[in-house]
Amino acid sequence: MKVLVPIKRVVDYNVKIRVKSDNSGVELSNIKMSMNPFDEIAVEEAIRLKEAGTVSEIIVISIGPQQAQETIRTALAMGADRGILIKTDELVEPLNVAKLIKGVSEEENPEIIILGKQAIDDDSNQTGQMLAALLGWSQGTFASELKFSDGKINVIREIDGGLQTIDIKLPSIITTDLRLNEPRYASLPNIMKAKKKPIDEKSPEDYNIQISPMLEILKVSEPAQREAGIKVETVEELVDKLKNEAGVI
Amino acid sequence: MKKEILNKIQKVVGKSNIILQEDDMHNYLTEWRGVYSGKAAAVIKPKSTNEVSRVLKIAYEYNIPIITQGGNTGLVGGQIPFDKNHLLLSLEKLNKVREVNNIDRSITAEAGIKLSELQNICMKNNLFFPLSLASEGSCTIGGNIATNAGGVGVLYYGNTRELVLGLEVVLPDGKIINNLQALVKDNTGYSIKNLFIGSEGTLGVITAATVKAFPQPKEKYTAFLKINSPNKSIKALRIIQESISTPLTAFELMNNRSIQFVIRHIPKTFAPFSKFKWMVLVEFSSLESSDLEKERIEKTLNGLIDLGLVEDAVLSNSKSQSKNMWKLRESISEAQKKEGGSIKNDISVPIKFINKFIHDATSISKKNIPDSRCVIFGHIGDGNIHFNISQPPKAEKQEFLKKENHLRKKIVELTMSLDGSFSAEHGIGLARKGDLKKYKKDKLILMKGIKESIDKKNIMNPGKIFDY
Ligand SMILES: Cc1cc2nc3c(=O)[nH]c(=O)nc-3n(C[C@H](O)[C@H](O)[C@H](O)COP(=O)(O)OP(=O)(O)OC[C@H]3O[C@@H](n4cnc5c(N)ncnc54)[C@H](O)[C@@H]3O)c2cc1C
Repeated sequence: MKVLVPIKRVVDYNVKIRVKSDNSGVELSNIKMSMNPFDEIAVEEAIRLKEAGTVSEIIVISIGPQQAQETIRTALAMGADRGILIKTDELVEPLNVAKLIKGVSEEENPEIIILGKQAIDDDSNQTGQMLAALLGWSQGTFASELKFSDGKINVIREIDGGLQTIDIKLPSIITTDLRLNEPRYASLPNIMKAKKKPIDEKSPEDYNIQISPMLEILKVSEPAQREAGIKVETVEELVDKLKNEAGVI
Repeated sequence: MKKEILNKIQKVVGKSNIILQEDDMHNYLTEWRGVYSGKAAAVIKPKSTNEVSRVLKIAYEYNIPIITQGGNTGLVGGQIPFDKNHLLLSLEKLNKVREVNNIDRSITAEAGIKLSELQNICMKNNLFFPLSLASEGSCTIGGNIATNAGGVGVLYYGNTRELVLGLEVVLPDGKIINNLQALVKDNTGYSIKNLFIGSEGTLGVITAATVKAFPQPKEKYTAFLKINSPNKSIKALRIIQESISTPLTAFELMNNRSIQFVIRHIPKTFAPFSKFKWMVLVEFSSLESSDLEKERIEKTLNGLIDLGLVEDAVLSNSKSQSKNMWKLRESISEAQKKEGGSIKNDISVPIKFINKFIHDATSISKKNIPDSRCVIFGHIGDGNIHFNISQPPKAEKQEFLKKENHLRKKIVELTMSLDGSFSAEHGIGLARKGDLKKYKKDKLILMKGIKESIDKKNIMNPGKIFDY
């Protein structure tokens, strides 16, 4: 059984992002980029499935600029088998991404596609669901545990305030939540081997898709600054400040 | 202590900056490991250099000893007073930044600022302050200077001593000596600043410092190397330094036991290799971010595997992974604490003797306490090893600690026979006074002469470094 894992190159989770001065987006020049953390979990899960013998081949796809090839190499170094880069310098939106993945899926015929539940740059949380609809496949979103038994996947889902367990029939879309696994480090010998693994370069046109954005970003702004707290020395001072400055009592 | 003296001091710092109740002093009189627990007449928290000076004048007049404290993270008892007639001078409120100077690339801050805050302020100003220790969330720059702290960046950036450009200090009689200029070159006689660096509060109070900052690295490459012996790690270190021009900013050796303890006690940690004897945390810091550089690092590290020096290696591919790698290294002390009693040795030896030291010190531990567990880690590129011996799993802690003096003595003997230092990073304080007397007699006499000429009344942290 083949598995497809779409991965996105995003601003590193630990980078403190800055909004551009004209509010058109966030500053991306000279900023550390990494694989979307949820996608990293998706890659790890696919590798574990391969190690368990459930899966025979792992194909990673990234849709983005030339540098997204680095992200693909990272996945290959972790243990994926080959990569597909669909090159575009446009801003990619969930529906376009879902259509392109569908295109790849029709060529590759995987039985599972594992995606991150969202990408941490735009937090859309839509691609997996749209893809399930486009392909007409079952979906197990926000997965924190997967168990495979002939033709079915038992998925534990993280839902508001608890867990939900469902059985879905293959072929399926899975989207990953944080607790699904802890992604491994890429080992150096594997990094060296990954340099030789094949990456196919494609364009959206190869799948008859035009990447034209449907959303127009009007403005990106920083969250409101929280004012620093103060320390008071006495209860009297506290009461005084609550009364006269904060006006809450 | 006479009420009148405390009243005078209270007038200087204000009522809310003096603690007189013993119950409220607890956090200042004990340290995190609970090894030392002291006594004091009061805890005083001045907010300015001027207040420090006025407090010291009063103390000088009445011959009252002053024990200066920063973040209370010192590991040798130097920051703790042990007498009902001594005053603890806490600098936690003397913590303002005075100047961020992007042209000289320096920053001037008061002594009580937390190290982590100083790092953050530098970062916000597009600068980098490289001093970094596991205690950085609590320790202060004044304490770092007073102990000449080392930490993980020494390999490339040097000890605290190399990072200090100028100091402001208050002498025992209250006189303020200001020497804060950001001068790289200043050959105007004895280096007073260097006298105060590492003085552990025995000469005066450091109230502010001008320290060097560096350009902010854009990219960090973090890796773990799996290695069979400390000797091989040294060989690997030299090859890396000879073949990669990207600054190598960390090279931290850890034995299997230290990582086992971390994984057992610290949530969300996992070992990068399924089996290993030793592991090294390697980090490169670069001002650029280029594929070429990354490839060179990968190639060189991979070459170490081909040479048989390294068994396996993993490389981080995001800042989160780098953070997780550092977490393993930085949690060792905390994890070891949860394994019961431990006997700590912070030693350094010339790098050529590291392997012998580790081998012989392990034999000493096993011979004296067969089931003891050696937690060995440290800044191996500086020749600095933390050789800590944890009690056997089922032993009685107190029973185990009875052997501390004997075991420490043996390990110090070994260290000195290898031309090493019995205190590489943590200083003398109370804990290493005996070793200083035994091994550094001549130096101690010279130091005593300096101490007596600056602190005539012996009121600056008396009983520390020197006998009372
Ligand atoms: C988890 C942990 C990890 C550590 N790792 C390292 C490490 O890697 N490398 C290392 O070198 N140390 C390390 N230490 C030791 C300790 O953090 C350092 O010695 C630190 O520099 C002390 O700073 P502090 O502000 O806490 O000083 P304190 O503990 O308050 O004081 C230490 C000494 O300095 C004197 N002093 C403090 N401030 C002043 C001042 N303004 N003027 C004059 N004298 C003063 C005190 O009197 C005392 O003698 C570690 C400690 C812990 C708890």
